[in-house]
Amino acid sequence: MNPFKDVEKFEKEINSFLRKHKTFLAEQGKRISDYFEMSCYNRIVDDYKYQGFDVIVKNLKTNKFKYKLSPSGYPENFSYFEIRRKVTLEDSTKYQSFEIHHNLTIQSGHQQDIYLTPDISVVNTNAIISDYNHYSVERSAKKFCYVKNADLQTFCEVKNFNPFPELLYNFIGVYNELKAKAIDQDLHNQEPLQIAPSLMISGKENEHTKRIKKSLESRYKINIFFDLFERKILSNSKQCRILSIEPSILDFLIADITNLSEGTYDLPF
Amino acid sequence: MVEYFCSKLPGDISRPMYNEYHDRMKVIKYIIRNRSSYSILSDDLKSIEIIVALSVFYKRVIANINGAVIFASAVFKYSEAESVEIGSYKLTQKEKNRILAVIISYKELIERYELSNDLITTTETKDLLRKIKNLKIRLEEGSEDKPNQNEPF
Repeated sequence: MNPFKDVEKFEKEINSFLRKHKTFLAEQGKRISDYFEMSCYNRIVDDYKYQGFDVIVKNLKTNKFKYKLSPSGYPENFSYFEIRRKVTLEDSTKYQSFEIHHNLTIQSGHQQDIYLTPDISVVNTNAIISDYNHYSVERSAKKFCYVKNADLQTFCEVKNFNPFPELLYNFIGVYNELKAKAIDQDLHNQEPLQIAPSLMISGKENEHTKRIKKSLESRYKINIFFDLFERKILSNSKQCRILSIEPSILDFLIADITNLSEGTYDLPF
Repeated sequence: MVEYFCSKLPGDISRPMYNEYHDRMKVIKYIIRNRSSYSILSDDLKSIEIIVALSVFYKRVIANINGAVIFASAVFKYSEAESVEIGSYKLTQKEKNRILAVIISYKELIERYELSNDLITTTETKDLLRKIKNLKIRLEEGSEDKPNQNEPF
């Protein structure tokens, strides 16, 4: 069929497609932002897979992967991924492992009793602390769960929006609070390569937000990704630096994904 | 055109779709009006509107539900999990297949009209318009040649 000649038929077929799937779209539409976050989470996990880590799904609840949608709720009630790989050190074999969580509360890098919750965090294993005194309520079983800043490897914020200046600058606040100090002091300069703190945005940039991204990435050790919708973003050679930042400044944070298997992000069709 | 796609979606998804569609159409109309090399498309605005709407719909809806399918597939592959629980919603294998059916149906629709995945997923509006122009030339001439991807804009 020719979309230029058979335009009326084309329009009819689209209407028919939308009518056929209208219930599905109405149902699934409200979950699109969650799905976007899931696909970003998947990209992070796949990057570690590419580095040779095995992926282990942890904390299933009666054969269900419970996805943590928000900062509320105790982490032990939700599922997550652990990544693990063998490392040989002077004739002994050890395992290097990290956990990748959604909506996990992290201690500030500047002050020990303030916290914030990035969308995706890569943390050291078994690093979650339960603080029963946090709420200052006597004989309460309520606890506050968080991870010490030193146990945070990296984090990502995921926004299913079109980018706008304040959204980008807000991320710098989160970065400064959580990771800027550690990165500036080279506290995380050993293997494995970690993805730099990243802001992952679904929407398309305009000229102004493109300039802001360039400026912020030159000043801070971060990634800002726009238009993050589909597999081509990661397999496209021009975009392959998306999981790295300025190599000359921060080579310990670079994940070389140039040879990432194209099929990893392939659509199922 | 985008209104058809937006009508069943919640506001937080349909608003950015609507805005993106109209922003892209503004650029496209400007180029077609002002670049003689694109005047070939001046009578095809309806078709272009449909293609742009399909492209925006892909990016905002299809790519994301596909993300859910890939996530669930990874969970099912690496564990004994039978479902992914997102709030009160359970993404089971059956549900995953239901989503896949919609994705496949979308894919069949665009393929029937000679629209490649590459064209639909083009994020730069100028590139998209160039590919649309090349598609029109190819279909009209019945040429077997591949469109010139390096043609300067």
